[in-house]
Amino acid sequence: MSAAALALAFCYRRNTQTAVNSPDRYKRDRQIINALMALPSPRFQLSPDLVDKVIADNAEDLDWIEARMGQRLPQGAQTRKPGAEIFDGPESLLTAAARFSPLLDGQPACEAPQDSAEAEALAWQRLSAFIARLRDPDKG
Amino acid sequence: MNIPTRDRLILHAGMHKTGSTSIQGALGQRNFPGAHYFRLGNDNHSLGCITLFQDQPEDHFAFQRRGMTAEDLVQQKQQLQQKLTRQLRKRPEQTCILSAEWMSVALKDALIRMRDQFAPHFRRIEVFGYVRPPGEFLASMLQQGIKTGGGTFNLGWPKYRQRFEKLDDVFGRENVHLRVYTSGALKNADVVEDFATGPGFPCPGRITSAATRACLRRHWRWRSAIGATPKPR
Repeated sequence: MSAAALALAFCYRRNTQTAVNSPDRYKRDRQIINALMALPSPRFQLSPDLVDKVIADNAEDLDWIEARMGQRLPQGAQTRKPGAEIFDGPESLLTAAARFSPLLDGQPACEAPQDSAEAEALAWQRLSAFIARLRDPDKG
Repeated sequence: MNIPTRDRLILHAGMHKTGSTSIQGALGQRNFPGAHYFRLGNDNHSLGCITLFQDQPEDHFAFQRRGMTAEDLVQQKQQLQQKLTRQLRKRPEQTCILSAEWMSVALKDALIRMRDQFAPHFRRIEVFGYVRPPGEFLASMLQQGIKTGGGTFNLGWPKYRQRFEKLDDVFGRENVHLRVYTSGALKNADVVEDFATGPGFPCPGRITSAATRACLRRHWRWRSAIGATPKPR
């Protein structure tokens, strides 16, 4: 999943309260997620510092599986990959959602507000219009 | 007609985000000669196993999303049970395979029910599972969570002990084979070939010759996701 798809899907989840509990809603939900997944953008990566912290917090469990398997598990993911979009929490996802939201209109990504609430509002405005167009392609 | 006793049952237990879809796609394409991959309506047997072995399957999010009720699932359970029994009676292969990531998160009671269902019909039950290193797993699960409905930044730790210790308890540690899931650790950087190696199957048929476009797409997506260099096959 690209960084744009993940960030915009996160924004979509946060702004839709409707439970996906029927075949029609499930189909509709898949349609939206699949459309987001088609957006071109760099890949994402979790912040290496964040990953290191989570691993440290769960060291006992990691020790258990390594003892069970008789080998160390590689820890190679904790280096920054060139060109990857780094996410370290919900705020970074929301600012990325705003930055990538012009892709929904076929425009290039742009600068976005650093404030996550403002960023979310901007991203959701574009995203909800995009979803409306998916529902009714004749609109917009 | 009695159910004949067979040599072994192979259980592929995931874990999640370890190329299970590719393995299931290859199994579903009958790429493993001499083994019968159960037909339960879907290449991924997780929902079938939940229906057959889990208490209150209607509480599972996948069924809730589809709007399925307890009554629907009672009926589906009967149908699945019939399918399973028919295959156990009629298939000639000495090895059968069931693949469900669900096994790595199932409650112990459900696993015991599953074992007890199959144990009378097989001389051996062996479990094969892949273990994904935590750094890669965290990113993959965040993506999966958001994709399937989560609106929170939730870095779900894999809970290795919780996943695998109960498999050891239920099936016997000597029967539970765990392998590391990274492109470097897999045979030819290919999880399907690697999976075949574990239970000692012949190398599976070439994916390109038999697979559907969907299966192929899943396979390439997986290779791309783990950063394996695509190679001509």
